[in-house]
Formats: sequence, structure tokens, C-alpha cells
Amino acid sequence: MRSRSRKKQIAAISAGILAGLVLLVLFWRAASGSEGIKESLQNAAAAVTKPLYQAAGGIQRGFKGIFHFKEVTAENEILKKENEKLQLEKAALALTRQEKQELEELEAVFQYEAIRGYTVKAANVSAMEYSGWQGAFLIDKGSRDGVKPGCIVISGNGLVGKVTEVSAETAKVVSILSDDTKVSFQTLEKKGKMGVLQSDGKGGLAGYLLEDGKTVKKGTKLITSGIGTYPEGIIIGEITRIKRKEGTQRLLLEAKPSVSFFKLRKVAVVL
Amino acid sequence: MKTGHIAALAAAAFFMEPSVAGLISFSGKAPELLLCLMIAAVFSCRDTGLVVGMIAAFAALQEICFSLYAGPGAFAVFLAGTLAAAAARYCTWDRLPFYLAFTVFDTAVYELILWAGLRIVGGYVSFTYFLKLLPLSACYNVAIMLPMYYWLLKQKQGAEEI
Repeated sequence: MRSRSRKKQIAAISAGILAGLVLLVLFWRAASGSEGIKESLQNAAAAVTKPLYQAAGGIQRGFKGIFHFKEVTAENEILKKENEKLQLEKAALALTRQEKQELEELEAVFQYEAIRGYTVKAANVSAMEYSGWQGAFLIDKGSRDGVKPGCIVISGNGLVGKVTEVSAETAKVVSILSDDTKVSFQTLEKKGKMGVLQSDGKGGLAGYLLEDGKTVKKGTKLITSGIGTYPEGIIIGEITRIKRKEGTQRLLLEAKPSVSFFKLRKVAVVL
Repeated sequence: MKTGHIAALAAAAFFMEPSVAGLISFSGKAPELLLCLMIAAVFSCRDTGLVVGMIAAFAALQEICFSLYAGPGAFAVFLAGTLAAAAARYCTWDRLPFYLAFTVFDTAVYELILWAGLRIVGGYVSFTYFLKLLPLSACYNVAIMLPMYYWLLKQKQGAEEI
């Protein structure tokens, strides 16, 4: 009797594992095959995660407010005055502190000289991938808004990455930390020095100066040079470490990206 | 835990992991809710095969919707779940030290498989960085598993009283 029930249990486990494997294969095929199923799944999931993600952002900012009480009080006073002014002007638009901060962040995007000639679409982050150390996320703008794979994504703080997949209402964005794509840069100095950067696989960027024998200072800001995928003049980050390659004149450098990829709420897509 | 409850919790974890979990994320790492649910479910449910398959399917769906690569995460969840199912056959989860130690072990297995899978399909994360963030992932998962343990214990005691 006992061995029979054990056999039954083993059969049930095997059946479950087999069913799981079949499902995995089906999902795999859906992921790599035609866009129909995948697009629909992505759109449906993003519709649920978007309000959750935005609400989580609000809570996070609220917690930060507790620890920066003085700053928040001062900011509150300014906001009160602004609010009174807005009320006097009978403004129809009332912004929350979070929305104001996000819009101010996004406003910086439109200051970039490099994207003057391009159409820029503002987008909200709908979901973030936290499991793969990747810095990949979903935005709420897709092919309906003109977003295509390869479109550049920036935030008020600088270069974010590019669009890799697009559905009608959403798009997947990969950060500059996630792949081995090289970004051509120039230093933000009078006579900018050119170089190449890419992800170091440790949450930062690593690269080198193109001209041997030149030197740069720690803390120097780096911007896109305009050569390759990204338009000129977008902030990438700042140099954190410099060393000369042994036996050569080549200057190797490490840089910290200016964007906190995992805290992004609003971004802009350059179409 | 009943299979229906596990399905509902898996659906909740599916949506919460890429959104609300970010509240406590650090260096791009947050608790692996589906993995935690699977360990707890495998130890407390009879249909372990079904549970492993179901949660691996949710993980696959999550990758299709939110990740760059579909496959490595679901495969890692599936293998970590199979390991938990094997452990559940020979060990009992009632002892807290075993339960937590197994969570840490299973997290390490899951993360290692995920890292290797991502490297194969084109991910760009160094092994030293993976090792650096591994204790953080384990801590996150232990923090999730601890209240789950007391909840499971309470459920078990309730069932025994009946």
C-alpha cells in the first residue's frame, strides 16, 4: 500500500514537472516567435504594474522626506507660496510635490542642445527588472507613439540607454550598463578629449582615451561625442578612477553614470 | 497551503516584483518574491511538481513581459524549485534554522543559474559583481521567508487542531 502511494506521488511529481516544462517551452516560443502574444502579454502586465510602480515611487519619496525633514519644510514653504500664486492666477493645473519634481527632472532633457532637431516623447516607467542586475525597464510609450527599436532614451540627469523591443503601448529599454555596446565620449572641458566607454559589468562604466599620452582629471564630466548611436552633448557620467595601462601611454578610466537607473520614474525617448 | 492560494500569491508576486519590490531595492536588487513563494509552497504543499511548474511558468511570463531575455530566470526558478522539492522529501521545514539555511542555499543556487544563463544569452554582469550582491539577495529573501515561516507554522497548527 505504502509503495503504491509513493509510486503515485512520484508519478504526480513527474507529471507536474513535465507540465511545467511544456509551459516553459510554450512561453519560450511565444517570447521568440511572432509578436502577437508577447505584445499582448506585455501590454496587459504593464497596465497593472504601471500604477503600482508609480505609487511605489511616491512612497519612496515620502520616506526620504521623513529623513530630510528640514529640507522638506523649507521646500514646503516655497511650494505653499507657489501654490498661492497659482491659485491667484486661477491655474487649473494642480501638481503634487512628486509630479513637480519629476517634471522638473524631465524639463532638463529639453535643455540638451543635441536633441533640438528631434521629436522627443516623455514616458513613464511602468516596470523595472530587479532580478537580472540588468537595468532594463518598461515604458508606457510604444509603436503607436512612434517609438522604434534603437530609439535613444534619456533622463534629466543624462544618458539612459536605448529601446530594444516595442509593442503598441509599451517599449523595453536597456540601460547603457546592460550590454557591451560602446559609447563614444568627450570630456566636458574647453578642449574635449575623446574616448570610448562601455559597461564594466559591475554597475559602472570603463573605457579609455583615444589619444595616447593625454591626461584627464578625476571628477571630469563626460558627454556623448556624437560619433555612433548617440547624439552629441548628452551627459554620461563622471570619471571616478584613472590609471595608465602598463607599458603604454594609454589612459584607462572608470566612470560613474550620472543616472540612477533603478530609480527612474520619467524618461524621454528621442524619436 | 492549497494550490489555489499559491496561484493567487504567485499572481500577486508576478506584479509586485517589478513594481513595489523596488521600494527596498539596492544596487538593482530586490527580493525574489516568486522564489520565496516557491520554497514556502514546496515545503507546505503536497503537489510539489505542480507548484514548481506553475511558479516557473509565472517566472517565464514575468521574463517575457519585463526582462531583456526570456528563459534564464524561469529555468533558474525551475531548478531551484526542483531542488526544494527534493529537499522537502527528506527534510521537514518546521525547524527554523534549516528553513532559513535552505533559503540562503536555494537563493545562491538560483542566482548562480540565473547569472550563468544570462551570460550565455548575452547578459553583461561580472562574476565578482554577482558575488558581491549575493549576500544582499540572500538577506532580502530571508527577510521575506521569516514572516512566511510563522504564517505557515500557524496554518499547520490550525490544521492539526482541526
